[in-house]
Amino acid sequence: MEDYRNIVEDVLKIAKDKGVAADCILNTNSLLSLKSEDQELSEHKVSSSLVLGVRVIKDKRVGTSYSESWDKESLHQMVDAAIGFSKYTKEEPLETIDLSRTDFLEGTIDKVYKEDDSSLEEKINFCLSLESEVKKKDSAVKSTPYNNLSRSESENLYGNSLGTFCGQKTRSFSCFTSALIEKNNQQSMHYHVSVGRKLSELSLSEVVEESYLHANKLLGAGPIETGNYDIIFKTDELADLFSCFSGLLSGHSAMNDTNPWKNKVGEVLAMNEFSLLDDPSFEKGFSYTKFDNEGELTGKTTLIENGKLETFYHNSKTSKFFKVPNTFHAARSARGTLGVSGSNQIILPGSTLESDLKKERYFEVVKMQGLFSGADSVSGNFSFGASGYLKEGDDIITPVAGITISGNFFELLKEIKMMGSTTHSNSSRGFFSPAIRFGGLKIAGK
Amino acid sequence: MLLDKNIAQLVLDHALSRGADFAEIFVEKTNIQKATVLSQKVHEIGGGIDFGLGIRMIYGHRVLYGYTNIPTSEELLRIVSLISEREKSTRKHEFLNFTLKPTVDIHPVVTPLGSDLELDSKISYLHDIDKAARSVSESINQVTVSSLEKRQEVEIFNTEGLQSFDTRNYIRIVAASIAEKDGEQSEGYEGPGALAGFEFTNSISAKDLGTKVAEQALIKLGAAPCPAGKMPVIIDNGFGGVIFHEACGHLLETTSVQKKASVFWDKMDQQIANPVVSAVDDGTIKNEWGSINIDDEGMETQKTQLIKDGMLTSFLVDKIGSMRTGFKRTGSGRRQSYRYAPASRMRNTFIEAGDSSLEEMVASIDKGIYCKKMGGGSVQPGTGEFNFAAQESYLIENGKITKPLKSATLIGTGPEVLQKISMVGNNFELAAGMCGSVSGAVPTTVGQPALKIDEILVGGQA
Repeated sequence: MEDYRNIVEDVLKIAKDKGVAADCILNTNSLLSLKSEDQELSEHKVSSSLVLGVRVIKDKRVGTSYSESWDKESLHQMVDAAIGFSKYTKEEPLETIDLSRTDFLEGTIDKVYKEDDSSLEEKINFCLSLESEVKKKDSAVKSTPYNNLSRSESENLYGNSLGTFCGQKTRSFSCFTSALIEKNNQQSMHYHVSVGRKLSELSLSEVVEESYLHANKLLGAGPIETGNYDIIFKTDELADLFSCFSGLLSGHSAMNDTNPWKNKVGEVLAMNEFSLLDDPSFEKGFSYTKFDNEGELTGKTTLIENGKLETFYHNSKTSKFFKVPNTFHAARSARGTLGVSGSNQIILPGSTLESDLKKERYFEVVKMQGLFSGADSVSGNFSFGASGYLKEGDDIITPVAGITISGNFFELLKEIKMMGSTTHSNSSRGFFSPAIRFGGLKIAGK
Repeated sequence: MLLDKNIAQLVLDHALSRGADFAEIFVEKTNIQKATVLSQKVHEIGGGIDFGLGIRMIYGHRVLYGYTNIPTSEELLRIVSLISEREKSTRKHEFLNFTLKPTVDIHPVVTPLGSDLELDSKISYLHDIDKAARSVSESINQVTVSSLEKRQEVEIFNTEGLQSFDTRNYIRIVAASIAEKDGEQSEGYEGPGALAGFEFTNSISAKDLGTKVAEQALIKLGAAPCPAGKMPVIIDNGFGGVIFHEACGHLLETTSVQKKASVFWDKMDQQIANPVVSAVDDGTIKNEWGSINIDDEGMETQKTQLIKDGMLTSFLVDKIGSMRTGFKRTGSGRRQSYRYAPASRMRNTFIEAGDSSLEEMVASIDKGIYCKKMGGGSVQPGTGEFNFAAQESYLIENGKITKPLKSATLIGTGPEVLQKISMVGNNFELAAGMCGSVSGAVPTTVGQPALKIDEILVGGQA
């Protein structure tokens, strides 16, 4: 980390010599990615990359620039470009760099940067198993067109011209596989993901079982009658739905008049049992980070409590704009400008046992298509394709495909019928939620 | 040139010495500049330089890939050794000396990024769009306008002796507006783009673009809920072509064909669409957003007839796809950047014009939907299931367009929809978009004339 610190310090010194306040972000990443096809390794990818970005503030105007080269000349060019850009931007008196801290803040912890004790051979064998284990399940498995094992190591450094410096390393593994099943001229495909901090934390059996289970069960699935149905999303699908509308919690977009909830803080916007937290310091979450992109220490934030919107995600600028406390969710990539972003999102469990939540007929969504293109974050309207099961309790009445689900996200939050009492995690472990039963969504089918 | 030829030779020879059948170095330097006007002020402006090198080694049909930002021989040799660490074979091929293959520039540019054009005049253009949108109605309460300019220089070396260089200049203008009335909000959006410099904006009137995004947002205020169920649908020209892109185009890429993960993998020379349908993927259209001079494997681009009178006539084929399927390369190997190995991808993909008028199509429907403006979508290649969003749509009743509708989603499968296209319009148009797939997000153009689909599932709220 020491070498990279020198690069950041060089950038800050160049900025200081030019008489501007500055902060600098440096991101490195190294990746190993493996894919299997016909029981051979079909892709073996390794990479290493570094990008650094500078933000300068001169005469209350902000300029940013980035570079993937870090020789002295490139660093000078980058700072000059940022200063040049700043001349064209409007004055931003609220955007300042004023965090001063003398000690280096080390954000790396053992739980997110575990030693990689697996050999390349072990990783390759694991990757090959992602294909072979699915094929062993059933001769009707035509192929596993999408499978992958990857290891990602990254290092993030933040430094500013007031001496604040922090850094964090993370290492993560992820894998997925898919099952493409064909029987009687009908096809069905499903895939599943697993993540971990070490190879041994990945669950091969889970990705194989889940991929095969749903591909097989959804084979021959068809539409159900058009009408209104209660709906329960699998945790992965619920996470995707919430991420489509994540801008509603952004203080940055509220400040920019692009957030329809901009005047709704303090209002009840969801069913009274619904509470949503964000916790970057939650060590089990894969969005763990000890500091935000202004160098501030992160902490837990209650965004919605008992249905009431308590606050937005804020950085130093948006918190000054709204005259509210900073939630320390500043986000800025090396290539980008200052904004906000969430981390580990946690919906608190409710009071209903899952067995009670699943009583009476409901539609369980296990796969969605076109969610992001079918969601309008301004009006809240959404419409997307879905597959899953019409169920009562845990019993499948019929597998379902070729239908669409339509509704309005703002109304959806108010139409929550029941919140389960057990917390589940999505596959990528950044979203934690109980099962939620939503009332009366429109399904278009037969 | 971006990389010393001697370093390239050293690295590729090292790759052959480790038993590779083929190796390639893709070098990229990309300058980017983005400016955004929000709330009638310059909200942000920035940019930078991406630089890196991707090395691909092919053993049989297996691909090894690595990339780095460091252009030294030591680093590149390290990457080759690292990715081929497990390979046991020894040299099978001798290195061929490089022959510089000149690139014919069929997409000339007047004011590329880095030319003398002042930033002030670019920002002034963005302000003009903002003003035009706000002047349409007091209900327009926010407008965002951005320009994104990119100058991508690429150099490709391979063990077959190829040395090729190209420069691609991209410009995209993105305008969005939000309308609000009685507590209800809606959004309008347009994103024209070209393989060109800032001179592209001479063909896009700021007033027209601003007015268009404002009207799109306003028309949806108070729109009726869209009906749900199966019904006839007219998808209008331009971005309506996203249906073909998603439902069929991806299934014709050898990326999925070679794995037999496409429903069309064994359908060459067979009738896969209604005979009124002919479709093309064309990288040669002058200065079009999805055009290129050479693909990211160094092959000249071409016009590829995919479907003729309903018959499948060609796939989109990259090098590895050609090796695995036996079909000839079509200059379709593309990637977002040096971080990705190339894959077969679309360029400017469209259904060719027919002879029906939009009015004739509307008149032929008793109850259905007219989708004037489509949004994005996606497809599952294995099964051909697709979905896409209708951004601006209207109800058709008794042969007439009657009222605007809230957004809806259309879903179906590619093969099914191709058979159900019964009328092809005469109002052909192209529209710019970004396509995400295994080799990242690449600029692609979609296009078509208006199409009538006899039956498709509409996911509405009514």
